[in-house]
Amino acid sequence: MKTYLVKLAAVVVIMMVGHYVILFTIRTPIPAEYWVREFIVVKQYQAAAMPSPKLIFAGGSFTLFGIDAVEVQRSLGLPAINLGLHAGMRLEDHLAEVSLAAKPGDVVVLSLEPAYYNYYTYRWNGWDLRNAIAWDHASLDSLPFGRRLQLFVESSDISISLDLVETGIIEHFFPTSLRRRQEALGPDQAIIARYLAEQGKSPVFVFDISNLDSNGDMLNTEGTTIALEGKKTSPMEPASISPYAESVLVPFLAEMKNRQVRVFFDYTPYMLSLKPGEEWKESEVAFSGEIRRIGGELLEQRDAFFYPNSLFFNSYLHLNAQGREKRTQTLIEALRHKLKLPAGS
Amino acid sequence: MLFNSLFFIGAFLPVVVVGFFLVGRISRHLAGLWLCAASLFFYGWWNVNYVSLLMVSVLFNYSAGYLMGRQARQGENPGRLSGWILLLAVAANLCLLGYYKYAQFFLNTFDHLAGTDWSLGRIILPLGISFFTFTQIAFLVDTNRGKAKEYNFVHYLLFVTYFPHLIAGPILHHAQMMPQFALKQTYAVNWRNVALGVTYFIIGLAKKVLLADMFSGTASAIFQATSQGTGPMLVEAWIGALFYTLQLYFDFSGYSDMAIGMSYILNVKLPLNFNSPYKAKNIIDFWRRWHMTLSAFLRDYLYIPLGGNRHGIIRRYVNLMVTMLLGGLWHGAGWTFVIWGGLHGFYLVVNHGFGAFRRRIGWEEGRLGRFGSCVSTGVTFWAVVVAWVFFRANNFTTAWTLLRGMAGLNGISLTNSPGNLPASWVEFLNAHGVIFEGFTPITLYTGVTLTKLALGLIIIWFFPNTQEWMAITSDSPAGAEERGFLKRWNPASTWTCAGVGVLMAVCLLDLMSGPPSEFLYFQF
Repeated sequence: MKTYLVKLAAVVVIMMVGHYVILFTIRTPIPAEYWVREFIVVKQYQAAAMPSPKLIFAGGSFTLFGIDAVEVQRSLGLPAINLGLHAGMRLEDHLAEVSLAAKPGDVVVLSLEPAYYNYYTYRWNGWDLRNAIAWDHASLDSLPFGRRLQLFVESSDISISLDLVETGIIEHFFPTSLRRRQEALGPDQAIIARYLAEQGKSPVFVFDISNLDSNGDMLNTEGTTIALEGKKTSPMEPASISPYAESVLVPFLAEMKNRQVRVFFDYTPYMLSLKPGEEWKESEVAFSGEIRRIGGELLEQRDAFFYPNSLFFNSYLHLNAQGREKRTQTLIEALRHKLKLPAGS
Repeated sequence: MLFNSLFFIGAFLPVVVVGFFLVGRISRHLAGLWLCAASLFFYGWWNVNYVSLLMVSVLFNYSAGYLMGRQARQGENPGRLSGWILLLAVAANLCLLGYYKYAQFFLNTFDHLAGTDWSLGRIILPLGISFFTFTQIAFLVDTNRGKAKEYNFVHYLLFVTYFPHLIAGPILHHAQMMPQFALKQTYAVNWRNVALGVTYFIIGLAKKVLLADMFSGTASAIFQATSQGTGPMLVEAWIGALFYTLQLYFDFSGYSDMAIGMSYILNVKLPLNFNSPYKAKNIIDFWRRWHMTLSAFLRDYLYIPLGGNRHGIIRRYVNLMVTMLLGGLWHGAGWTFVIWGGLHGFYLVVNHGFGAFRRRIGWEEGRLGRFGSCVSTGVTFWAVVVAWVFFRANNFTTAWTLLRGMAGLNGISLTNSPGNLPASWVEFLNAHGVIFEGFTPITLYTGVTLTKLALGLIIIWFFPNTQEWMAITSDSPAGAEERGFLKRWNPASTWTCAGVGVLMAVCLLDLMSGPPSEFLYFQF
């Protein structure tokens, strides 16, 4: 029996040490969302080409799917960039992208998914880790050893190390099957060149730069697909801002203010099969108070974001083309009102 | 402190085990005290203020039991005085339980009926109070019956506070535990028991971390959405009820396996609490397999004292109903729990009635063979799932809305798109409550959800349970027969080591990546 216990302990230790050794030593293009890396490059390129003052719509994938920056630009007569990316990214990363794109006189609309307001500490999540291992090597490798070990211990599960090994085998024997992932890891210029060559040419929906328009909007999102992903957002959320989120947002707002960039906060959509009760109103009051407390400004009210399932595309955060059209019109009116732009502008 | 927390697994348990055996070399009495201290530390980790409540309860019940036992030891006529002591002690225990667990509930009910607004303020339910109170009531009754004869205080303290069972059972009998604490062998390392215990613990941990927690998200999302006014449709209502059914089983049986496992390491055998309950062929069978120690308690200390089946059929059925209604109330201070208990009481009455009818017409059990067996299991499972809806729902409205959904009365949602169906058909279907928003419009992820459901059902119906796989259903594992299609636990096999080791490593990696979740039965 002692032998059994020793063997058992050995298996556990070998498995765990092996897991961390793999995370530290192997870098193979594991399955991840490489399109995020390409979108960042392309959208920053688009933003840099726009004169200020311009409108910047930032946030996770709701913004990516839910706002038609081309239409906003046309209606308000101001250049507009859709900087929507992915709700798995850390808050700091979204703000860093905004900071990179914002110039004096710009207006930022930050539609953060409710979870961003609940962050309680600086912590990477599983999505961050997987994507950092896959394509954001610079972020990962910039961390000191101890911090990386902590990150691996706190955020990794066994599937990542299994993927690293499996992808290594595929890379060795079938390298061509990983071509697209390798392209995303290439230099920025190569990604921009591909974007310029393929922009708007995708005939169907795909998470690819060929499916972006000139202002960073996602294309081909008509109808509703079969596989709806994720969970719904409760109309009770967000209700407060965690101390950690506050510690990230307050310096960002101060920096934007110094740069003469106006920042509005906005919501993300609520997929509602049935009309909700009135409880959300209390939550709305509490949250708007929180936004004011950190020196921010809310652009719209929460009920402007209640949408039926039929206006969603492939997730509870992604409006489809019809939903986006509706959302964009509301947004245009709200911006016109807040920025005191003349009607018809 | 949770059994599935890294602190418990990596620090508390190893220190307690090593300390127990080291101190046990010097003195068994001290080793017992070490375990008591560890158990109180374990309990105090949650809320140190309630350690004193636990200790008062232990001292009071020990004193009452000691007084009753002294009557018997001194050869005095124990009947009358002992009876009074028992009555007072049980009443005091029920008052304690009543105050912490039921006072607010009954007051709320009174307020509701009388239109008043009385309150006792916020009462925090002490963790495990139902379990340690019932354990001690059993001790008092056993003492009164002359079954409990050992009064070593350290052993008694250990019997009640013993950390593997303190919070959520199994509910123990004095007679099961005291002889084990008195044995010399208990205090010396037994590597066979350590091996058995570690493996048992890992399987329990895997049930909790890899299965129960996997099912909890979807179940919670559907019940929460229902309580917020969404009416889940046919498929999703069933998914909610079935996921909770699976979550509860893997959560509670995982907890019990972990308790049994860690206790094995300490050479103390705890009674089994689960025996593949969802394989039960009828409700009577279900209650012989689900939370077995509670069933035995209710039978021995409630159903039989009420008269059991000794006073005719009607009285028997009344006794069954009363027992199950109180069993429901034991689980929680809420009318939904009472309804859950009442439903099971009703099921049992029907089951007994059907059995009597079957015998009267000479219809032998098992007459329909394997098919009949499958149907019986299916019907029993269906009845249990329906009852769990009341158990899980936070009020009647939620339970009723979900049950309506399970009956298809909230409508039926099919695929996300009607595809090539003619518009007139779609219109007709819409008019009859059929819409096209995906099978699971609340929780989404239809394919993943159905895969998880299939996995859970395969495990509960076709896999051997932990004690079958470990072959410790009897106390002679070497002679236990091979069961199920999975090879029996064999410590000499490299495959067994590798399988169990991988399971443990995966659980640890999972626990490291996030905070542990509570066990469902902690709330009871």
